[in-house]
Amino acid sequence: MLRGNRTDARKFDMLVMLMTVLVVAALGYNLLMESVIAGAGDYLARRWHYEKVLMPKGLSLHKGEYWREKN
Amino acid sequence: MKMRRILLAALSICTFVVGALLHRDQAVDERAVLREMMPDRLFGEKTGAPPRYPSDGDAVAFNSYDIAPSVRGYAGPIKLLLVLGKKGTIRGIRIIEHRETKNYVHYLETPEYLNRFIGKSIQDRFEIGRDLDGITRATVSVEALARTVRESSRIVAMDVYGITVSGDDAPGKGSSGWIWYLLVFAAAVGGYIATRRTKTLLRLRDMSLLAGILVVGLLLSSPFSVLHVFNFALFGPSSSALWWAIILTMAVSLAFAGRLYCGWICPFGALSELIGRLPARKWTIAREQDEARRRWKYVLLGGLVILVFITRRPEYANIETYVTLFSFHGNAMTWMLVAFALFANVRVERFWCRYLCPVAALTGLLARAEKGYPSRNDCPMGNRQDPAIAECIRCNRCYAPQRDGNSSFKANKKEG
Repeated sequence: MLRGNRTDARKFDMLVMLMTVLVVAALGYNLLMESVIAGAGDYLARRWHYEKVLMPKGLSLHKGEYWREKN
Repeated sequence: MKMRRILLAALSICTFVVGALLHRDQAVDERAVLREMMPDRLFGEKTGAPPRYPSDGDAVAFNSYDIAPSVRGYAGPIKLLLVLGKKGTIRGIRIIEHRETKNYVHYLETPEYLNRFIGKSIQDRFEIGRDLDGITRATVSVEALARTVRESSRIVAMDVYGITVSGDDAPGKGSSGWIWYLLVFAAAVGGYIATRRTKTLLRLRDMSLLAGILVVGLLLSSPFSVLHVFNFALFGPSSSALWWAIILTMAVSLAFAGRLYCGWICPFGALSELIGRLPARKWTIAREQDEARRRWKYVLLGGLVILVFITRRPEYANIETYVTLFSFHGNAMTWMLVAFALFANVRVERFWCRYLCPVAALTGLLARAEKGYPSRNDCPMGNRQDPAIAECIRCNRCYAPQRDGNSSFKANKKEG
């Protein structure tokens, strides 16, 4: 039975691990994209707008999409 | 292998049932969408047959799925809210639900594209390439969208306003992608049969691989994906001829020639194999290590089944390298996967196919068993002696017909 080269085996295992991590990261990205990532992006945009525009005028930061709750 | 098949079937059934229980139909608030779409216009309650939202006597809004449910894209119907004027002109359009793969249809969803339907009359042909622009690599979805608008608005115009379509207006024949796909498949089958008879024709497979890259990958952007299976299980068959061509040819090839698709047609497998032929030293991997890692693709497939059937969202499983590469669209993670999966072939032949490809796992589990593939030292999958049939892509290099129950091709065998 053929025995693998140890260095090759280590490199190969590292490659497989890296690819597996990437697969899991891609799955996680797909899962979280709609909720956490999109929500965080919106929040940061609103926060930036608040700090640059609203805060100097003394206005408050309201929750995003507040009009949905009104309806 | 039998145990893996049973496990996958049990997992699929259980998660499918759990998903169905968790996700009963959640209706979209169509009136809220209409308010957002046309804030200046008031629509009444949904009423009548066909079901519609009347508005001031000169327009009606309707859900296309109520009118023409049989028109389907790649993954079920594309449900639209349409507003139709009394002269048969489209005044508003919004996609309220679809399950098409985002990589292909990201432009289709934009107001910029949808607004091209506004102002069109039911007398128009709604034909891609004639009076509507197509979207490269999203032909099936765009055609389904156009057909949905055409058929539903014509029915509503006739039933509500009494307007009929004048003149000879047979719907267009649709794209010819399915013919191209069948031609590539027929060529692959021809090559497969020929190379089982004589080893002198093995180069036919290289031509088939090139056709896979050029036609299935670049021209049609339609490599087989587990998304095909998930979409079919969750939303039923598509009305696209190309979709049927892909599914039926896959079923036929699995039944008669195992993983013929992987070995002769798959554009990503072809690209991987061609990269693997670059003159670079391949890593030497011990048999136990190789076999242990090959099991990972089955684990990944099982994970995708659980994820998709429980959430009922096939798009979550959209990590396949060939979908990203040939749709030319993906996120940073999936593009990195593509890059590493291609680069890895320099050192390990068909890396993605061997260790992580969910299609390889699925087709391996469903492949027809056949003796006569003992493998040899130049196996493109790096298979060792007498591999499991699930790992064989039927390149036919080692094929030796069985006569007495033993392989008669031992002469060419070396432990690789």
